[in-house]
Amino acid sequence: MLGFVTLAAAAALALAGINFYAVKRMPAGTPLMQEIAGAIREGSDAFISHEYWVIARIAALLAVFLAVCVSWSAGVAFVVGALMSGAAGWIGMKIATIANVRVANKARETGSIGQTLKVAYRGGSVMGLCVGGFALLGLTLMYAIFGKLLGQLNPENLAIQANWLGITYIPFTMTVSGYALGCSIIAMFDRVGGGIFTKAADMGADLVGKTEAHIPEDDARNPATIADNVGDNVGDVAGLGADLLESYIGSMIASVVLVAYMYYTNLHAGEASIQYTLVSRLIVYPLVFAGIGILACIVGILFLLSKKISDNPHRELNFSTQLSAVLTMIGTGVFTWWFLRGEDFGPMGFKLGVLSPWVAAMAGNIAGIVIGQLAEVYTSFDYRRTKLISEASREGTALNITQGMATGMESVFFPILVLALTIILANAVAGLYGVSMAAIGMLSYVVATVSVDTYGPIADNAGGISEMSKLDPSVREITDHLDAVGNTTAAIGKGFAIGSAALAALSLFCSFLYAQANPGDTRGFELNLNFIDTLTLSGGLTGAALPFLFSGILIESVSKAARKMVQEVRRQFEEIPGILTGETRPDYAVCIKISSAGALAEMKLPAMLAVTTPLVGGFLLGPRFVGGLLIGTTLTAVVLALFAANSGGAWDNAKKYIEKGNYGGKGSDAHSASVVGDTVGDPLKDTVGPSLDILIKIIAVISLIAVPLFSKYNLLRWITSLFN
Amino acid sequence: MAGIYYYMTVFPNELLIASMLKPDQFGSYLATSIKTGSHEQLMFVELTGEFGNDFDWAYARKHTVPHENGKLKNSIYLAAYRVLERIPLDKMGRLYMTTPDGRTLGLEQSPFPDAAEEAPYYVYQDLCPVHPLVISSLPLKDFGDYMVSDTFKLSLPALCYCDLSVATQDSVHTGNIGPLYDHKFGHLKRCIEAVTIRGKKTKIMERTFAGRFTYQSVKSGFAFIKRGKKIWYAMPSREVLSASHYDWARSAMII
Repeated sequence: MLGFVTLAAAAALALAGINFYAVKRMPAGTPLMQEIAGAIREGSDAFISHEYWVIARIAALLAVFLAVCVSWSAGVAFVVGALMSGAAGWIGMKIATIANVRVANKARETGSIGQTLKVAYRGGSVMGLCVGGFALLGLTLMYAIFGKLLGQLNPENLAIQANWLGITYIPFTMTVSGYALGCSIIAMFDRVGGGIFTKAADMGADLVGKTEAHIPEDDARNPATIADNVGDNVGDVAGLGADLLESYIGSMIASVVLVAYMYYTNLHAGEASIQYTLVSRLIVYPLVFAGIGILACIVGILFLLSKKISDNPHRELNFSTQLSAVLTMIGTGVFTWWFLRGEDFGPMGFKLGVLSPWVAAMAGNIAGIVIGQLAEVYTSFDYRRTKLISEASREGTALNITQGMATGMESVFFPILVLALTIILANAVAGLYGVSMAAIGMLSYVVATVSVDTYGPIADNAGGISEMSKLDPSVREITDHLDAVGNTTAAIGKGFAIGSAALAALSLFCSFLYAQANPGDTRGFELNLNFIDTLTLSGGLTGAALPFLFSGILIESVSKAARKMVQEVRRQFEEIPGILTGETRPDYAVCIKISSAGALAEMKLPAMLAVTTPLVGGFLLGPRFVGGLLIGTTLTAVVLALFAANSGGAWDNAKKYIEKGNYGGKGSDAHSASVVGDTVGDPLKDTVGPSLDILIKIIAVISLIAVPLFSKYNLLRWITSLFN
Repeated sequence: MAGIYYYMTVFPNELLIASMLKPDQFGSYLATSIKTGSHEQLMFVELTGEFGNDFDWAYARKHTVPHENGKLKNSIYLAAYRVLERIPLDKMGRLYMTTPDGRTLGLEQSPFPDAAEEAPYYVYQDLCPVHPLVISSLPLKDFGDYMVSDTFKLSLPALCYCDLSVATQDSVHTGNIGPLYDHKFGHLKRCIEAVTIRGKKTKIMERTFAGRFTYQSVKSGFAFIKRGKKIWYAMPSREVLSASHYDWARSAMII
């Protein structure tokens, strides 16, 4: 089975390579287009290099800590995870900065929406395929090397063991958790750093360029416009890819940890009713499930790239994604029946026999689609909610903000209800394993969704390049059309990211509870969290407040960096008068440096807050406090992330609706109000929301890894022992 | 050596300026130069040469010379009061519209439109020398004639004006008409009623609308009128602007 998974991962990476070079070989347009694209590429490369250098130093410390205090295999797995996630983000960002200018050029040469769409999608598919390919390749390596070669998956090793510090865990679960943490660390910094960069640049460009100097969007005279385009690549491409890769891995390792601990506790309860053959299959099952998903997505991608494309990009992209989803459903259904048939599922709580985990996964899959559609209902101007914000803008800025907040708050309820129902259904058909399968199901065609999500920023960049290169307005029309579709797909993608993060976090939370088991735990081991317990309740309250502190710091970081950008853009306009007359080129590089330095300086605090909070809480007050912390954080972070993503998206699209010539259109009072609303929503939707996805998962993974440590060593326990 | 250009600004105020800058440079200079610039929307007409004795042309010729460093002289102000009335309409060349970010579009003169679209009321923006927003029952040509006629008690010696598109409160899709939408709608309605129901020829809706006027709301073009004489600059359609003057139209927020 591992051979099949390796083949799927290799196929994904091979196709990514083919698409990468196919895009690279395409002509890059006029010298001016190449010059502008070159500036965007250099800015993106410079930021990612600096960012990865910062991450590398922090990751090296964490790797050593893991290797020494927990297990060397976890340390190695952590490094591999970080490398895989880093590689996916870097290649994705790279292809985005290569594809953007080629998309613009294809529109220039052909004037065809369909052919231009193909180039953008081919570029986006590189990111999607890399996310799936690298994630699965790394995890398969963990299975092959640590699981098979070093025997961590042997029945005798699927047991809780103690390390030299007396810390107890099941070796293979710790190894894969280390791998997940490596992915999480990259995702956290990519999302937070990229989010701060992109919004600082965007807000700086808009606040001075548009509002003060009355320069249109993407005008080459705006000193921050190249930084804005760089931000699309480092935030929306690298950040999004690393985020979904982390969710993908998080959901898979949660299922592995669950199965391993269920097997162990069941075995030591003296029942031995869960057979090792079933356990070994259920441990490999998520990997193969994901492998089938990747192959289905490859078919979907190839189908879109090989067919004659119509001029309706939304329909084409939807069809490709839906084809991937349907093939995944069919393929995994057949595989589930073939792979798990004949096993005894009773002790695992599977109520629908062999197809139980598949049904749970499909519940997650459908939930993802429904959450995505709900996001569209609340954020697209094709629906009433966003139009109401546009309409409220006629009465001024305050009511635009009020209506946007109302929409954002209301938008939270139904996706949460869908998640709750999915959890209940998944648990009913396949127990806790089913919940983790629901997360896997939601992400099973992640390659297709990331491909579509990455296509958006590529098209957006292409529009910017067309504008700055003074290409024919018809070119901008094509790229604008593609970009508009990208905005819708991005809103749906955010729904997927948040939904999958919540399910993955819940699975990881169950694993966290299991991971507190000690060697020989038998019937006395209880999988529950008592919220009447004051420590747990205190943890819950602290956890509930954490996302607000985290979000506040992020918004402040964006604000600080944006203020510096505003000052720089004003300075350039003031000191270089030739910029506005078009005689002198602005100093784009300084603005890129400001965004870059701001993001690198500001990303550390929120990222470290996410990493250290469960550790500090655990070492001070122990696992009960951290258990509460996890639940508290997950509940408010999911709610806040949905609010941030949907309100920000709705404000953005409410402005776009007015700009389409409604309620007075551009230049009207309603437009001015909607511009303020959009600016308020910018850091919410592109910095806070995405970063909260990671917060949910990273504190769950860190808690999962560290729980054996702080279960044994914590201040409260030590003080209590003094009085006993 | 570069020549001298004579420009009469008609919006936001009337000035006669000599300059060595070509029209697009002149527009850009007025809107954006000198540090961060004023970022004003402005309109000016290029005059076709010197005329009469009302203005000190010799002073202009003497001072409109390059700076010592060779840089062209931006502006020599010749008059700032009652300028339009003293300039013969036959000396007017192209009309230029400059956006707040300094992009300039030139309009050629074209025949004055004779037949106006029949409507119960019309909305006019007076641009020079006064700036009221006016609701009137008179079509484009008649409105100008009326404003400069002897019979009108408040008649002006000359006037530059344009007709505007307005949207009623209940229309959602309006196009980019800018700040006129939702602006004092109750008052607008009462002014319209004054014209359509009470039979007034003109009703001032706002004594000066200069701070809010934008090119987006211009309906068919700009008229310059004196007694017995008139000239016309047609506003290009949105389609023409989009196809041929894309950058300007974006800066003017028309597209």
